[in-house]
Amino acid sequence: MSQPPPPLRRAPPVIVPGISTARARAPRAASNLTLVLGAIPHESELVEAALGRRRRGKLAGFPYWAGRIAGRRVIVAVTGIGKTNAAMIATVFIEHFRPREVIMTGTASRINPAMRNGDVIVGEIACSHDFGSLGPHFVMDYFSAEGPLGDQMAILFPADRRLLAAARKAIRVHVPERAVQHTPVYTPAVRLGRLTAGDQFGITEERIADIRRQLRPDLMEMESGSVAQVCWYLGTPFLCVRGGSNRTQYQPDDDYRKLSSFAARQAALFTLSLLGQLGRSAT
Amino acid sequence: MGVAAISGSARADDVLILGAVPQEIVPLQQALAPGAASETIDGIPCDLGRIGSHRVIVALTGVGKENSVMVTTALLVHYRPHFALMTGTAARIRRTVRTGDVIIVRHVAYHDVGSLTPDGVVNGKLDSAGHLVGTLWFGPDRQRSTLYEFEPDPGLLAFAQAYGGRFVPEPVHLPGNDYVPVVRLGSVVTGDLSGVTDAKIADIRRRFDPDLMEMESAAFAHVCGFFHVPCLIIRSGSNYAEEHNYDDYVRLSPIAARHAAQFTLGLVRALP
Repeated sequence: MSQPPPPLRRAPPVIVPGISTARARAPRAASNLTLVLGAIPHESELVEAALGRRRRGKLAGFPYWAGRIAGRRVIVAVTGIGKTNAAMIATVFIEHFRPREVIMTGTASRINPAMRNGDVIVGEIACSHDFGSLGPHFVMDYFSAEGPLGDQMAILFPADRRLLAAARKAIRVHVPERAVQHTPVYTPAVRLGRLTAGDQFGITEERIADIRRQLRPDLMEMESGSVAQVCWYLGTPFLCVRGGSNRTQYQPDDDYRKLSSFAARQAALFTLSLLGQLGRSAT
Repeated sequence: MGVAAISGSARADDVLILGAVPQEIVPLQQALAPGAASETIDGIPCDLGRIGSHRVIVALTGVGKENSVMVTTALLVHYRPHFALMTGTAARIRRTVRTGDVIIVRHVAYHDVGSLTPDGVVNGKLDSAGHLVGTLWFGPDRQRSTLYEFEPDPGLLAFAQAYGGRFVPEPVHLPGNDYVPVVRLGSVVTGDLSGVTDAKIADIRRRFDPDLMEMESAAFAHVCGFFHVPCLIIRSGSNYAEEHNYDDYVRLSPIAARHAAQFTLGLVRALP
């Protein structure tokens, strides 16, 4: 009874050989507003504070803020941690508000050793690194399972092109804060890169090695792959912005506590620059 | 913009039934006819009809947590059903569970949520000394809540258990092995893994000692909890949980899908 998958007009790009990539989809009809999601309150509080004509609301019991940034209507909500919370809140808010785009902002662990605390990655790719079949030495076999439309699910979800173009423009004008709490002091970088997500807060060296080898991500967190997948099925453009917090490891909580605030702040500041850019380019 | 409410209200007789892949819902779709209708809710195909005294909505979630969450959320919001059921197959973790045995799920947990450590998965976060520092994480209600384990609606569970006592499953015919499956209460674990290593199975047994393992039910129960919709999960044993599971899954999962769906169908017919 399920619908056949839509015809493939253009083959999806091969980003990682052997791992399926979602093809580009035309966005469905949308309202002229942007949904911004953080996983926990401190990731989205700067965006909330920047809202003009700010109003508090509740949707199905879940709190959110509504207002305007750069002339654009913006809804800010918190998903909670992990895949289920993220996918559920994305579904509820997308279905109700029909946003033109979803922007996620927050922190992530640094799985690419070149990343520093506060360096920001704009996710060209989001994916779930913990979906597949687990083999010896914690090597994951990423396979395309059946999706909800009788389709074959993708593992890699490229970000929306229009949002990436706006992010490139925003990168040119964005001024990050200086990381004065670190020695030597540095200015965090903002660049396009790869994000990966899974339901594990910390992970072991074996899994880290396999994820690096297969997916080559810069940052790892717990929500972007799920929100990207939901956005893809619901025809809503998605982009995720994450700031580097602790190094990826299996017992990160002390470092997370020390480093996540600065990371959350840098991601949110860039998200505000991006929203400014989207406001200017809105028709 | 103000306060927005989800439109629609719960209908006392509506039952939502979800399966992950087509073979898991075929007997239910067949039972909807004649008079069945189809509609698409936000791109998700749904079949509607009557089973017993209930209006029933049957839909597919697709495989894995996100799909389960997205479809469950969208359909709970749209239909506001009185009950939500999930039916399907699962890999056998307990060696005494046979293909086609039906487990009425009294406890479901995520096996892959938390922190992956050299000693397996732990629920929560570890500090640099290896101490567990809190097992409650932020939820979407901006409060700390647990993410790991869920139980079905007690009333539905008791009703299903009573119905299980008088349900007679079809016999299973496997090469050199004919038997009538059992129906009993049990436990399952959910994660985004299809094939699993022996080490992962040992970790799952040590932490949960479950009967079965699959990829959608905990996420389904988790979402139903947020929307206060009573839920119940019915799963039937397919292949053993193992690393290279594909051939056995293809051979045995149709039997399991059919037994779970037949029990679910009988249960919905019997629901007052």
